[in-house]
Amino acid sequence: MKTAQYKWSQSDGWRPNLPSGDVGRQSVVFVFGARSLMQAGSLVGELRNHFKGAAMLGCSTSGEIIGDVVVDDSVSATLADFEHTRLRFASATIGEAKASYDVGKELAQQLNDASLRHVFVLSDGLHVNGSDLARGLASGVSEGVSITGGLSGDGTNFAETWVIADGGAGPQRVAAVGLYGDDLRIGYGSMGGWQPFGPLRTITRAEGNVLYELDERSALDLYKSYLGPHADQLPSSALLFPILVTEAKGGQGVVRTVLSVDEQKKSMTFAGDIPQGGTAQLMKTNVDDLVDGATAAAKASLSGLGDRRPDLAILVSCVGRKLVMKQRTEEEIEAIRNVFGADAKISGFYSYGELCPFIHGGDCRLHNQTMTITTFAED
Amino acid sequence: MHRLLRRQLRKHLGVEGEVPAALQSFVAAVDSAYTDFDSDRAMVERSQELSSKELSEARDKATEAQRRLVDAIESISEGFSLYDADDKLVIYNRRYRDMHGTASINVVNQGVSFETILRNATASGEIRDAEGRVEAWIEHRLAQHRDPKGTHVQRRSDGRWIQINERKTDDGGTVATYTDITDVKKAEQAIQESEQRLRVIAEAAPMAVAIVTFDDGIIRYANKRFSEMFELEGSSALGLQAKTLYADPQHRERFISALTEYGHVEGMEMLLKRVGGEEFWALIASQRVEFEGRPAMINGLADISDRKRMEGELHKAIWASEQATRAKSDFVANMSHELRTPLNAIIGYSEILFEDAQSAGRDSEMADLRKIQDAGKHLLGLIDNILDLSKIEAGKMTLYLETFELRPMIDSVAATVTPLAKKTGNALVVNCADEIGTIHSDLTKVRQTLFNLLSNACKFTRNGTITLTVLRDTNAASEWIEFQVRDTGIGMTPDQQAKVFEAFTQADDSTTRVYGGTGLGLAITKRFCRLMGGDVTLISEAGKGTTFVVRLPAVTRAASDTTVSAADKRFEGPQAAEPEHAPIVLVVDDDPNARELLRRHLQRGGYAVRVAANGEEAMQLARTLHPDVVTLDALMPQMDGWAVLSAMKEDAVLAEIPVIMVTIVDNQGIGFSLGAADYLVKPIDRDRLVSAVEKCCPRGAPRHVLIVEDDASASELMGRALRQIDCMVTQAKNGRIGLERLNEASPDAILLDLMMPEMDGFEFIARLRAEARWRRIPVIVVTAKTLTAEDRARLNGQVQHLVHKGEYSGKAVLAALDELVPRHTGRTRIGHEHH
Repeated sequence: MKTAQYKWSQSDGWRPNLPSGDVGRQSVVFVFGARSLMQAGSLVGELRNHFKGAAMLGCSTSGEIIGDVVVDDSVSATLADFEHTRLRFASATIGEAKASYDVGKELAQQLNDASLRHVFVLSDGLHVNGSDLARGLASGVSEGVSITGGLSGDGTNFAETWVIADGGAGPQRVAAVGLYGDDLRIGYGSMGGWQPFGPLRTITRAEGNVLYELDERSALDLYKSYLGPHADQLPSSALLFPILVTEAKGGQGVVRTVLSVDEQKKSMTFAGDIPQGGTAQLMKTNVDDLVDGATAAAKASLSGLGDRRPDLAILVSCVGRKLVMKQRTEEEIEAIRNVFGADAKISGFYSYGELCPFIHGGDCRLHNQTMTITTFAED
Repeated sequence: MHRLLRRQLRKHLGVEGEVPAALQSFVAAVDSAYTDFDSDRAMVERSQELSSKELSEARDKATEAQRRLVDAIESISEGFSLYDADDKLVIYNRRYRDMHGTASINVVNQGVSFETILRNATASGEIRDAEGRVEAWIEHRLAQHRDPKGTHVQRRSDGRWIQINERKTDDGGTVATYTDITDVKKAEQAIQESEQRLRVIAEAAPMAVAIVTFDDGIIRYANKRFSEMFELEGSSALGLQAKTLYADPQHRERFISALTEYGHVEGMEMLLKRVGGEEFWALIASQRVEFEGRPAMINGLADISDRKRMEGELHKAIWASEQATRAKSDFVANMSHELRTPLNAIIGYSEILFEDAQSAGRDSEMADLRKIQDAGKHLLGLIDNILDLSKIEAGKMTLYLETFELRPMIDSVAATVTPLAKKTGNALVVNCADEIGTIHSDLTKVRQTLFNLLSNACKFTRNGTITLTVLRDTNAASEWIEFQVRDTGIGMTPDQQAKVFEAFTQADDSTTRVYGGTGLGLAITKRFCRLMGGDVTLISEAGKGTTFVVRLPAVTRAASDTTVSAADKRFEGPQAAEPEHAPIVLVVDDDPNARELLRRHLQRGGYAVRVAANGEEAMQLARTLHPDVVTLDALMPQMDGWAVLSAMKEDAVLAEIPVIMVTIVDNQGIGFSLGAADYLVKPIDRDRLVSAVEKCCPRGAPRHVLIVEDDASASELMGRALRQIDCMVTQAKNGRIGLERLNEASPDAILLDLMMPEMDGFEFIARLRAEARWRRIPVIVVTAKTLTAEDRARLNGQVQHLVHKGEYSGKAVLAALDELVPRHTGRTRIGHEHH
């Protein structure tokens, strides 16, 4: 498996310069960039011209991860040229007509066959119910096929997200690549590093992924009181306090991140379902905890590779982490690099949601506020 | 150096590794601030974590406590709600929620205000009470909720009744329980409805109805009819003491005790009292009940004053009718007495004249005298029959039950009827087994029944055969004796058969003219049979003859008061002793019935009787006893009568004893040739037997008889009859004179009339029995009076025999006399008295 990385910035253009000439048919270029750059399309067009024969798969972000650094307002392109592994692509549009679950299931079914090993998915980050999408995807593949990926970001604007694929680029899109063959090794790991704090509250009113009341008080008001002056920066500032949601019947809690707020309805929309009658608890974190989380995710992702070092690692990290870590964001990337070693190509982006099984071998689920890593290697 | 600072130096100043000397102290200060900040932040976070942990634990505890509370609240059977001071729903259970209709149930959630829930419920029309006045009701309900006064009941539109119990909590909230009392309400309603229904029924009832509580006797309910019955104004019956309505406290006592004992009273008659004081009779039915939780009685009353009045009138009418009947009976009894007395004279004197004419050979007179005699006897019979019938109809006919042998009774009846049969050229055949056994019945009435039927048969049959058959029927559940009287006479048509047992009816009016008779015999026969528990029926074909069938129970039960034991029939007085010096008659017969019959006849004739069942025994007894006379049956097993007769005549010692042959073999020639003194053919006629024996046996001393009788002709007739059988007769025309005669000489027997001037028979007997020397003299009462039970009581134990004056009274008197004073004993005793 061959890999190569390129980075575009306003000041420098593509560094290194884009190569010319065909690449193998089993190639994919992962493209992550600021929404405006993705929307403009010219950079993506450039990439297509330079990587003829390779498929494009990417999305808008809340920050690009390339190598050991985190940058904004740039585009990263990472070529993955597989020797033995075959690739197939599928994409669809999410809208009024199609529910997230159905789209996920349909895509998965398109890709599914006996030799399918893994599906990597990129989705719109605002118009999708990530929980449903994850369940739909999981329902469409054979047992043993793992699914990872993420929801595209839009800086801290939460206005519009784009997905880039050969089948079409734009908002409300979902695109996936299926990887086939016995020579492929996939590892994944997902870890947050957030700690619940404060009182455990009952979700007294919620519908789907919209939360209205906690302990019969407006959830939005509660958030605002916690955010204080940061309340002005909602919804992005709500990322500082994700909530740990547990269903009424109990079970493992999931971390949920605010996607948008509605001042009129006093509601908050989350990237996943909020079960009425369940409990919710605010979460907080600090840089050290997040870095520890990233380290743990990296270590977990190695387990799927056996004795191999990853050729490529795609990091999907929540925008909330970036908001917390600010200038220190790169510390979590450095921690991961320490785990993987110098040879691994690292790419990725800050997202509005992460897709990955909770545990190794489990079904794909939507996560928030995590560092989710997918590692690739070929024998 | 702090990682962030190092990153910043590298990024912004391009510093890698060593910091320029000029910046070192500044960087050190910044580094220290970064580190201090981290450290401070770590401390704050630790405290935050710890307090979060404590919060979490506190919440767990609170949750657990609340869970328990919720479990408890859920588990109670009532709905439960707690609204806080702001009237928001805080705690509730499922039942509370479920009490809301489908339209409003989803509103019931924590934090929702009471008013919201209320308005939702009224908006969806769930509250019946609020219908048509929603706002007013809500306002009222809210006020009630804010300031609860305990319990109230709410009616829901779905028909449920909810009892709400609200209380304020200390913190200004409102706690409430909701009980679904629909079932209770329904039951209450059902009770109310049924009470209402019952009230309507009770009000409309034609009967007076009242409910009275037991403990205080106060009227708790009374219908209109009740008030009317007691003339109570409006509802003044309520609260009244029921006992004031009874006219007779004893009636009330009787009623209450019956009710207490049985729990109900059916149809008790009571004398009650209206408010105005008027007394009236009511029929009361009562039942113990619960009324408003107290023991009570419900009484239904019907005014039966009218009925009572009618009953009273009826009683009067019955009494009058009984009086009339009694008067009639008395009249009949008196009349019969008055008629009998002259008739006895007519019959008696015509008999005497007839005998005189007979001995003088005045044949033309004989025929006329016979006609007088027959007419008199017919009239006497008619009177007797009328008397019997009137007795039966008045229910005064009494049964005298005793157990007796059938066969001798049959023989006796046959002997009586034989002359009648012969008169009309009929043969009488008796079919009756010797071992027919006994019957427990009234001997006289059985005899009379058979006599009536047989004489009837004789009357309507000419030159034919009359058959009397007696059978014992053991097939039925109980034993019956059946007597069949069959004739070959004129028979009857079905119409005639239908009427034949009715009084004063004969088969045809014309029959009376041809055959005579009163038409009462069969009516009496029928009634006798019924009285004895049996019946008489007939089978007949006109021109071919008639069969009467009498069926009597083998044992007639003394079921009614018209039945008395035969022991009462005979007047028990001093019994005539077996005559010591009476002539001895040896009766020889192998048939025990015949032996018994002969023995009785002869004993009555004043003879001492010994019996032998066969020839050998006869010879032996004849040798040891030396009897005065021997009666001898001809046909006997082994040594027959002829052999005995021959043997006696050949025996020197026995040859002189006269032997009378008594046999069914009609062969006088052999008997007389063998030396028999007389020859009698069975069936045995008593008189013939006795006279035959008398002929052979020397007569005893004459008996002395005192006749106390006011009617001169009757006294004379009896005197003649007694003298004819060699009695010495003294006469007295009343009791006083009778006593005088007694002082002169003690008679062997007294014939006593009861109805006499100066001193009647009853007084005479009383005086007689008071004297020790006269106490043993037998008394034969000869009267035309129909004796009352009282009369009988006075005579019982004082007289030995009672003879009613009538057709056969003369014979009956003589028979009674013979029984009490055997013919051959009189002289001795009188002589003894005289010495």
